[in-house]
Amino acid sequence: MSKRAKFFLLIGDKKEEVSLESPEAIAGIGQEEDGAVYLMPYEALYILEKGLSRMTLNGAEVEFQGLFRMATESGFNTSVYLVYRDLKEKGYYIKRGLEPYYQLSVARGGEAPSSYKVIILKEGEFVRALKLLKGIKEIIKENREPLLAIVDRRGEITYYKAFIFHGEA
Amino acid sequence: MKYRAELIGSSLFVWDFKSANAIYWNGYYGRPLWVQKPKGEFSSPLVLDIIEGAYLVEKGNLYVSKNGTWLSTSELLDLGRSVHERFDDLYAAYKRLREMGFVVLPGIKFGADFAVYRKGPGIEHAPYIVKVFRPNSEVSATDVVLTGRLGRSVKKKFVYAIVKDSENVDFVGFDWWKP
Repeated sequence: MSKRAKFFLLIGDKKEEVSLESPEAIAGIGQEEDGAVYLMPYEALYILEKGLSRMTLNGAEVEFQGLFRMATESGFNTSVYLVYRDLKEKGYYIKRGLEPYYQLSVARGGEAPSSYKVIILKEGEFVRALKLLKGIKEIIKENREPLLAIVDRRGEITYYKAFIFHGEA
Repeated sequence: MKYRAELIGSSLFVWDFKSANAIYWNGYYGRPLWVQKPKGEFSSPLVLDIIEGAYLVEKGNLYVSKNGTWLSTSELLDLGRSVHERFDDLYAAYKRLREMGFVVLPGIKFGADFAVYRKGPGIEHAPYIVKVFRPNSEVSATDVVLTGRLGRSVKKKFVYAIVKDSENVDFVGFDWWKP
């Protein structure tokens, strides 16, 4: 990742330019487009949590707590961050998903493209059965494996692998 | 072969033992009234629930009478609707699973709508438990975990049947996954 690349944080419906002190430390995080790197809130939170790089926004240093608060106020679903960090810690390589079908694309180290697509459901939230079905079908259409990550109210995660049942064993 | 059953309350009774055996052993329909786990030919009437009864009538394998009058499939389906709020959805899912070649039993003891076997009870443990939803049903995180826990504790895969209408049923299964 070039030191000269521009970095943008996608937060709510805004695109905020941020500066990173150690861009080389965030290899594999964010999405590169036309020489710029776009970070989702969960990726920026992970960078700050792990101390991979210092980050400044509008000339002021961004800290984890401040970003967490700001992202949440902009409608960010913190469950995505919890699932992202959990899978990242377990050695997975993660890219952003395809909303509204799934939130994360996940691969084991060295695998490309992503093997799994993750639909996240938080305790207390509901998803229409049809929306869940469409998400799962969309992932299967892409020849990937659908995962359902259930996040409880304290952040504990339970994963399920989903499949379309045709009567197979 | 067409068998005869009598509707009493919301259950169907096959009083003739020979017919009862034929129906039971040809797809594990119903439950012998006096035998809990039949191993072979049994001497007992057979009780069919309204879902499987309606299915057998629709397939043309069963006549059902009430107070001496034969009932049509649609009369049985109407009766089903009057005793079970989700009857149409359950019936659609049941019918589809049977058409897929499964043996389908009530799943209430597993906290589900159906217990589904590839071969049948007594031969194997039901590999699947099925819960029926409508496309607009709201599925919560708790629903998924509850069914998942249940599935794991009884060593079964859990499957959601999503019923759009009587002819369109999708099945989505879930397996616990460790990253």
